[in-house]
Amino acid sequence: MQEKTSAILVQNGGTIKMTLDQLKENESGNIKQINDEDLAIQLLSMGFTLGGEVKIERIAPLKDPILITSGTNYISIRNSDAKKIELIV
Amino acid sequence: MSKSDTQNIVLIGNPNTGKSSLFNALTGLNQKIGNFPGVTVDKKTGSYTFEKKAINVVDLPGTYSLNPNSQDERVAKDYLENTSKDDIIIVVADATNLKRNLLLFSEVVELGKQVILVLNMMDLLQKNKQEIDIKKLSKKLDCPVIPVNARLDKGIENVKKAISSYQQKEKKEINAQTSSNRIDEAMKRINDIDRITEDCITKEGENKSYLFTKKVDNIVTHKVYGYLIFLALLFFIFQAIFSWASYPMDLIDNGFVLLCDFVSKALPEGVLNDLIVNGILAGLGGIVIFVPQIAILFAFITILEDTGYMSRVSFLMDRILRQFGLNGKSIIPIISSTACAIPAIMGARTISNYKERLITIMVAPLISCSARIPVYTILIALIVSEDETYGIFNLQGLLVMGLYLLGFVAAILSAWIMKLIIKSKEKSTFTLEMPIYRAPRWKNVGYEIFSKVKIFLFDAGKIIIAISIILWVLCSYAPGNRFEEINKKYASTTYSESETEALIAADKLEASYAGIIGKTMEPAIKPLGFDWKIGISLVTSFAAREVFVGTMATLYSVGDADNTKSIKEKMMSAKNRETGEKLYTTATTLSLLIFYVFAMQCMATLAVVYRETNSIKWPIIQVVYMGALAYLSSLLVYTIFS
Repeated sequence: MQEKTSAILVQNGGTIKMTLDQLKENESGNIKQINDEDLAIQLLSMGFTLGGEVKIERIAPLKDPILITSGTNYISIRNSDAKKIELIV
Repeated sequence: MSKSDTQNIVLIGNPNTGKSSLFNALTGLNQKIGNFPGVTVDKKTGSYTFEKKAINVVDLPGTYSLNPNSQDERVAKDYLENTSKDDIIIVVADATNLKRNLLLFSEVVELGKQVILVLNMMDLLQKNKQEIDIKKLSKKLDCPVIPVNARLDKGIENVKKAISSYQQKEKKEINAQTSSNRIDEAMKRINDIDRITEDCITKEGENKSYLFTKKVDNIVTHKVYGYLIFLALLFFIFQAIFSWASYPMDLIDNGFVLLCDFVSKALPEGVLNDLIVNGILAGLGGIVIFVPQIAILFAFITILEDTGYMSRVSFLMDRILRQFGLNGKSIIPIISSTACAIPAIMGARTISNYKERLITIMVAPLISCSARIPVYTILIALIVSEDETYGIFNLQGLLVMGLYLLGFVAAILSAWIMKLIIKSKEKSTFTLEMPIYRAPRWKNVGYEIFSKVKIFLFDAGKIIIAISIILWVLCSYAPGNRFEEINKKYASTTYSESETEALIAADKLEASYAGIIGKTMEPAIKPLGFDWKIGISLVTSFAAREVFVGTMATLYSVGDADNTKSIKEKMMSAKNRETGEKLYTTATTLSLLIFYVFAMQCMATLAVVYRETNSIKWPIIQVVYMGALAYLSSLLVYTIFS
């Protein structure tokens, strides 16, 4: 995890960029932006908001998909989509 | 209120808000399921009468927003935009998740529609010690707000009253969101809703059902227990479909025997009698017998979906199924296919990605359905005796299991190949809500069983009856005077009366059009070890696979189709006409078994595939690829074993 973060750190020229797929079970963060318009609209309509909290509830036994929550909104998404969800660091 | 005697209302709401409960509570059994024009999205319509006014209700598919992400949402949006200005739109919302549900509400209002907001699940709201100031909410939203508990039929009268006393509003200036960015637009809307609900939600409470749900999920989606629970459930469902259903199935079977007997005696002898008894009634019996299995299967599937469990299974299976071009949601059709491919193919509608849905539809018939069971049973009995064992296992049972496994593996591999061939730019996602766990709504389960059985009986039934009649004609008529010659041949014999009848029946079949078809086919199927009689049953199996047993019964001149033992004996003693050797050798029997595992021998399924894909191309491809698979595998098996 540590190494991964530092690799990203270098890639982005000093700014830390964190996406949802990098969190572990029971970890949470706040959504900064979603880099896919369709996915963003879908998540917003399912109770997730920009700036709002998102928590990894469970990672499927085969590491994908994952269950995420925000308040009482509770959905599953694939890792490929989680990668598009940027978190506030 | 408009002057006309009918009022149209449209139900719309997020999935899992109890929209269908409200629909059922409003319309009762007065409902129809059809399709929206051009797409295969269920369109539920119904009606009721209130204060002498006829009210027509349309239930739109559950949708999170009017931003069309899936076919369901596109249908909902298009339908809403084309409603007339007098139609009342009822937005059904989950009271325990008001904020999110109001997002859709605000989109409907922006379309300039006449709206009523129905807050469902008021019982849960109370349980959670949450409170909503309904009056305040109604004032802020400037529309009637009706609290209900659709599950317990509470508040339904109030909804009906609100509809009949609805005051049509002049279309107001709507300050539509005018941001160029869809994301900003949605966020702005969310912030507006936050301000409204802040005042109206007077007590936040604690969502108890949500906390309970997360506890259950710790076990249900666990990496070990999760799969174990799923396997145990599957085992239980199989047990139910194959052992419990056998009692009502036997009853139906016997009922049809009695009915056929009664009709054949009641009607004067002749062509009409024969057509009704051996054509229509025989065909009808062939479908009605599967009603118990389909009803039980749909009871389970509805219960599993209604409780929220199915979403978890899809979650567990998504990664595995994705590998093969399928989706987590394909698991429901795959399970259903073990009973019958027809409901399975209809069930694939929940998969929003077209390619994944198409692959699911294309491979579902490879999974052994219940119609193959009678065929497997009789053929396996020819090569393995009942008490043979392999270790502690019954060998017959093992073979049946092996055939099921074979079908399953073939389905998965075919899916994988299709994944490589079919091109699609559509993105595949698995963004699926995990609804809270709730007790199943038994009434809903009942409605679901009723409507699915109805579709099965009428849609599949029409085709099966048509095919049965055609087959009957092919079996009952022959070119020229071939039948009379047969009658003459047996005019003076020393056989007993029943034996003579049986011999005549067998000879006539050989001379009939069906027999000619069988004979014509013989060169093509000879490499598989089949003779012309097997050829005929391959043809008749197109009506339904289990017809094989009946055809064998006729072909091998056994009077009673239910007497499996004597069919078995006759088949065992059947000789190859040229070599004089035993016909059903291990090689032929295995080859035939494999053929039945893979071949697409079901007209009804093909008809449903045609309807669901809206194209003749896919059923044709299905017949060809499954046929090729069956032919080559049988050829291989026959060559190895003979």
